[in-house]
Amino acid sequence: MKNRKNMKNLSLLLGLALTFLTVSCDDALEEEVFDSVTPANFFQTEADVEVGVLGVYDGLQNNSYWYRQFMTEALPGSVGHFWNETFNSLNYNNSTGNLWIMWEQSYNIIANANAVIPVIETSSLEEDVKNGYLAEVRYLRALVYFNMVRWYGQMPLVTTVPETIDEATVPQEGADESVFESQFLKQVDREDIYTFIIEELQWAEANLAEATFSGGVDNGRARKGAATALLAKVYLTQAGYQYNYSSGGLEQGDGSKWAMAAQKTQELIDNSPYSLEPNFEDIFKNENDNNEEVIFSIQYLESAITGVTSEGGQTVARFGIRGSDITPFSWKQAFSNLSFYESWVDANGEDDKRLNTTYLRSYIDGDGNEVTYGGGNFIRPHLWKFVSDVDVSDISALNATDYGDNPIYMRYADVLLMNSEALNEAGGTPAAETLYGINAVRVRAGQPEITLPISKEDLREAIWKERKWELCYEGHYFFDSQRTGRLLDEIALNWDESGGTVRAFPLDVIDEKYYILPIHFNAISANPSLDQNAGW
Amino acid sequence: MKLKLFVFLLSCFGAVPLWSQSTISGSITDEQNQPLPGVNVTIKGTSIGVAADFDGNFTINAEQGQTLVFSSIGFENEELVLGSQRTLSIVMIENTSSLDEIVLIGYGTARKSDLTGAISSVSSEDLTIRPVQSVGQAIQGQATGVQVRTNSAAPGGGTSVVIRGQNSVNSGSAPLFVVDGIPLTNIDNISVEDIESLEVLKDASSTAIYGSRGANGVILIKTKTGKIGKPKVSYSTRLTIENVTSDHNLMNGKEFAEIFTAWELAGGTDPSNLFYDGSSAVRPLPSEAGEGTDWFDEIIRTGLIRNHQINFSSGSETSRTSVSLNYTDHEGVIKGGDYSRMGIRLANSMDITPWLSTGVNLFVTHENQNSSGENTNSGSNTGTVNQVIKMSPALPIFNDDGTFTANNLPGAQGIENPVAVVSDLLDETRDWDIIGNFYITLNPFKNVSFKTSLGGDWNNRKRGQYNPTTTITGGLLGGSANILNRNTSHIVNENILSYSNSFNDKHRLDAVGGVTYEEQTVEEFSVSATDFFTDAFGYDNIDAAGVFGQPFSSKNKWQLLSYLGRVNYAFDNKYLLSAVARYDGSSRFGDGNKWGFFPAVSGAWVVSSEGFMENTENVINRLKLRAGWGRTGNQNIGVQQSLATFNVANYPVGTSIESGVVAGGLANTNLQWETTTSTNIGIDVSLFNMFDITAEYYQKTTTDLLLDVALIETSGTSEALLNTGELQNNGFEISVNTRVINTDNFKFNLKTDLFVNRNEIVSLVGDATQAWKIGNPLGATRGYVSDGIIQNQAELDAFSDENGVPINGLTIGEEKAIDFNNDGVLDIDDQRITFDPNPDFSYAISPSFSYKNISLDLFFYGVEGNQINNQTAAQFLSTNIIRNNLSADLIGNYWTPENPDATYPRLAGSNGFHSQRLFIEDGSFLRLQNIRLGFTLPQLGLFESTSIYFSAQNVFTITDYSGLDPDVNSTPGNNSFGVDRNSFPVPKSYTIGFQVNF
Repeated sequence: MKNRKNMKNLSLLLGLALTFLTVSCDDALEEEVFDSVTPANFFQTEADVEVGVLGVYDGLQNNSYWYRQFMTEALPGSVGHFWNETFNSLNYNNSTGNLWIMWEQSYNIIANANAVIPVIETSSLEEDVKNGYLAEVRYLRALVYFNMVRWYGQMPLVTTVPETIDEATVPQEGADESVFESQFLKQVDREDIYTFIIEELQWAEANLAEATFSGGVDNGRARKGAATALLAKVYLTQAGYQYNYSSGGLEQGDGSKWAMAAQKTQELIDNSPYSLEPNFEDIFKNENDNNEEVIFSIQYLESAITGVTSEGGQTVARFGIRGSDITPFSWKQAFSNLSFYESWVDANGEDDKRLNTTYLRSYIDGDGNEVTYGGGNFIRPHLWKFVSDVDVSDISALNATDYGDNPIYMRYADVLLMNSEALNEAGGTPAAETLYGINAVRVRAGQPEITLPISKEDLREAIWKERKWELCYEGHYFFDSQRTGRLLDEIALNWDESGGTVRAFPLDVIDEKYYILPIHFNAISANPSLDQNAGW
Repeated sequence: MKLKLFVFLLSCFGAVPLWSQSTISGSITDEQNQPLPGVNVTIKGTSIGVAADFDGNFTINAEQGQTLVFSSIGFENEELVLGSQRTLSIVMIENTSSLDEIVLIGYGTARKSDLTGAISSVSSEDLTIRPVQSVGQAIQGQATGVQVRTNSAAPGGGTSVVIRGQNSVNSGSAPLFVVDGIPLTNIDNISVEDIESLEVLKDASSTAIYGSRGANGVILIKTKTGKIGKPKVSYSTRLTIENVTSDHNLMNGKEFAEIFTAWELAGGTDPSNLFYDGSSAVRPLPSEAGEGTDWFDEIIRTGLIRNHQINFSSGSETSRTSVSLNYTDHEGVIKGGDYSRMGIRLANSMDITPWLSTGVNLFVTHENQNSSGENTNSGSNTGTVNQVIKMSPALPIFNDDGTFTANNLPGAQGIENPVAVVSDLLDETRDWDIIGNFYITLNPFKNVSFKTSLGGDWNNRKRGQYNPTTTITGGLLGGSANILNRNTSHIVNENILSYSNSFNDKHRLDAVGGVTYEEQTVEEFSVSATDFFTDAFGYDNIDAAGVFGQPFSSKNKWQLLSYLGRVNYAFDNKYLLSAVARYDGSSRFGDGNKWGFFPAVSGAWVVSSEGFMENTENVINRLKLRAGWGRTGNQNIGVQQSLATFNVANYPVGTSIESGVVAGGLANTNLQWETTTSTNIGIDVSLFNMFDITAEYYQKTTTDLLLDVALIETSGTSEALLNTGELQNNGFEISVNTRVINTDNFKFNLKTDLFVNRNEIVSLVGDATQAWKIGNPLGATRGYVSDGIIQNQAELDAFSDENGVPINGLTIGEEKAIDFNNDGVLDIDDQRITFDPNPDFSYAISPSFSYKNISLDLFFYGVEGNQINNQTAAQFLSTNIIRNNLSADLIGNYWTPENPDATYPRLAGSNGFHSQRLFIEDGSFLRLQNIRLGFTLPQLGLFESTSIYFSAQNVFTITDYSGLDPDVNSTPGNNSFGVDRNSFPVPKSYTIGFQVNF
């Protein structure tokens, strides 16, 4: 009897055990995902597609990327000390960390675009809706490639995502040469990159909607004019000087492209919704984001609007008043270059309305005293262009990493100046239409118009100076110096040691390799088939 | 039909008595004639048995000719063939040998003498001999082959336990802890006093029963349970005082202002523009700076630890209960840092019927840690201990208006005033922990038992931080609050069938089989806010804030399903054999690789039991040879590593934030276990009734290492976890226990341990860009080799490239490095292994003396041949850019043309290569970690035993290391250990303790 009872209890207990063990074998081991998106559960609807497109935009906003776009500005010398003194002291090389981040982050944005493009293509959206989204993503990808091709010259041209993880792994030592034919590894020449960029921008231009400045969805999204303007700049860049990354030295570009650049900018002048903001200082004001002069900008929002700090930018922190001057903070990164500033004042005097927006030259301190630059910690004027609507006495605002101002990638004044430059280079003696762009910019700045007659060479110099004054600190100076073949002259011109910046090399060591950035050691060590740029 | 089956079953099990019996009764005592409760009395060859009551009395039905077996832990088994007697009087002989100790082996127990693998046991006496706060600290030096590194000496600071070397680069190297059957990764919340026994399973033949989690070793803990007998009460308390006795020898105000001025001048600063120019109270002239502020002194206090533990236990034949309460309160040596823990524990087991028993083990713990902002375990140059270095000593603590000063050194202005941090900053972590296990054991047949259990651990952690407006950060943000809440739920179900039998007195067989299932869910959320109108709320009224940060929440889950089995066979107590297998499935791995098989075999030969050894019995008391082989795994990786994921990447559109996503990780369906295959051979020998020696040699190879491998960056994904690479450990451990003097009144016992481990990276991808290198151990890193200070132009010219530009822009007075390939460029080809934190060997020596009721225990331990990367010194010896206070060693000892033999390079240099020479130091040390003098008072009325002790910890250390403490591990991690980065000062401490049992 006892044993039978035991048996009964045993089966009861086994039953209990099985109730505890409420799972069957393989279902139990399927990994459950709660807080992340997987391909299995996403990209089903138009809303999902839009979310994927915005993710690509977000890559530009990433703090690892945006301010590094401006780093090379320090190289010719209009500005000093971005993050560290690597650039304006010319003390960078193939193992400089910032160069790696620029390279890596670029490919990150490209990969995000590559991932979302096939999703849009295979979605069941209406053709025109689909093409609108595709054009935005293809514009953004072209923009990143255009930055890269000007920095590095040659690089892998990646347009798809890896199908398996094996495709993305670093090739082993002694790998077969065919391995390096992969899109992820094969180095592509500058010309082919440009061909790709132009095709993409032409497609985007044809499929993007016209900007309406209607607020809402239009704000900050890529529109037709953005593609046209970028296309113009691509042509202009192709027409200018090119560094020969195989053998070193500068070469003339493709002169036929001047006319194409002129044509594209002319299209925007003749028929587009963009116009110059009447007052120079209003262009950069936070409250005036996405104004009619802005063709494309990177979007930020401060917490005062959103209630959260996550979409705020670091413009104030990076470009605000520097370190020990009036705040206890040391990480304001950019200071002005004194010789650049002085040469500007010498040329135009105080009549130039841009000076007071571009620089902070004195302020009233906490004790009510006026403090002017020129001594103590306030050696140079402060960079003030992007933060001129910040209250200088509000220390916490000056430290904000929560600033809503949108860094401008392309604005109409740039298009006007490009138009004058392209027409001047493409044509013979300057004519009235050649002067239209530069004079529009000069008039707004309170400067006298340039009048005919003027020689092609004199106008070239005038346009060059105008670009520096109008667009300084906006991320164009290095690219402009590269295109015009003026880089080494500009470095020499703005050699400024007043701020204690010690250049690593004497002037005569500086050679033409600085026209291009080195490909980072990490990239070459992972992919030995990459050739280093000549000189590096 | 039914009836037939029933009869068949009856005859099979044959337990129904078909003959008549008599009632036998008796009493059981020990050798001192004290009644012995709880002894098991069984009839040999049957499942019939009873337990003796409180007074050692028992009654059992048996018949003439049957053999009664009396057994009790700690006593030799007694057997008695029944004659005609009806009343018995049994004297049990105490078992003095430790060989018959029962040890935990995972899903079962075994006699110590039957072990075939490498298992170290630590008794509760050894665990509590030092007044420590955590189990990690308690096992330091108590088990050979176990390295315990202190991550932080701060209150509540953790330890890293590594058994027989690092097996992994990326996955965890921490062993698995199993407390009363519940696998845990953290046992800092368990009171050492609650532990009855602790076993360290070291080789694969022992740990393979834990399969995919056995590779790093397993530590099994059994907590105290009630015993049959009269109720017992024990109470213990102790009080510890801690003091910091060493500091960094930093400069005072005058010394610093002088050297700072010298540095400014050396760097070309205009003499009219010096920092210490007397322009304000915070920028005095060097001559007027005086002593200034010793910031270290300002944040240090005398630490205090109070500990109380009370335990009640009782047991009858059918029910055994133990309840305890423990309380620890630790005020750290840095102001503002403290830790307290209160734990309640219940262990109960009941026999419902002879074949059914049940029980519950339950811990409830509350921990409260207040950080003094010392930045435990982060390894970065932040936190209070670092702020002390960063602050200018020429700066007073307070401004004239009573507010805290802010550091004013150029380049370090954002650094918080450490006095403000320790007094005003809130950083509180509260943990609630429940560890519980409910089980039912069924003995349906003789020799068979089935145990099913359901348990787990549940943790809630809340961390609240508030930066008040009196601090710099808080001041700018108008107060800054942050709350993090994490819930962890870990559920374990185990179903184990055990069989144990012996045949013909020669063969013994133990078998275990089972199915287990575990799942863990972690949910987390955090909120942050700034801009409070008052500091009064701390983080307790976050909705009063003006600005809110991005809220965060997450959830993840993993599951593990396992089948396991083990057979142990012993022949004649001479030949022992064990075979183990476990089949584990984990949700963390790729679809095709979820399951792994982990087998092990081991055997032992008790040579001394052989006939041919009889003559040597007095010389070789016991000799046993062991060998084992096994395979174990490591599944200790994050979740969602095998899946393709997307990450949130929101973007503003107009005036609102719109959702965005971007690609996260790439899918890797091939992801699978790390597998460690290990071989162990061991010998246990006892000689001259004086020496007990255990020696082991092992070899472990880990393949399919889970490594974060860099992907081609053009793919947009920077790295992925892949199975690649191979790592090897081999090592030797020996432990010798010597009873030097063993008389009735005076005893002198000496225990010594020695442990040698060699670790080598056999293969690895991406070697060129990694700090580590194939053929070297983990943790070893490369760097440039220092080559002395450049004394003159000729030496500088020799250290220049082909254009005559000095390498790295160096100047005279800075340290050069060896350009091994003489190509005028210093690059990765000129780097060598310059840092190896792995010791040649480590050792422990524990002498203990006792005379009558006085005992003296000492504990020394040491490490030999390791290096420490002294990143703390790298800061206060920095002469290039001065952004913090400096070591007083620099005074008169930095290079100038007049002082060419100086130790340190010149002031305001650019970037010399002195790190290897100055900051990589020999970390060998020998420490008297503990000395303890104890008195046991004679039995006094109600009090069964009373003891009182005095002990001192961290008494002295013999070392060449220049930092505060050579036993340091600021950056715990498989590949980054041995770094001293602003480590919390290790105090010397003195304890008085008292214990009473009644």
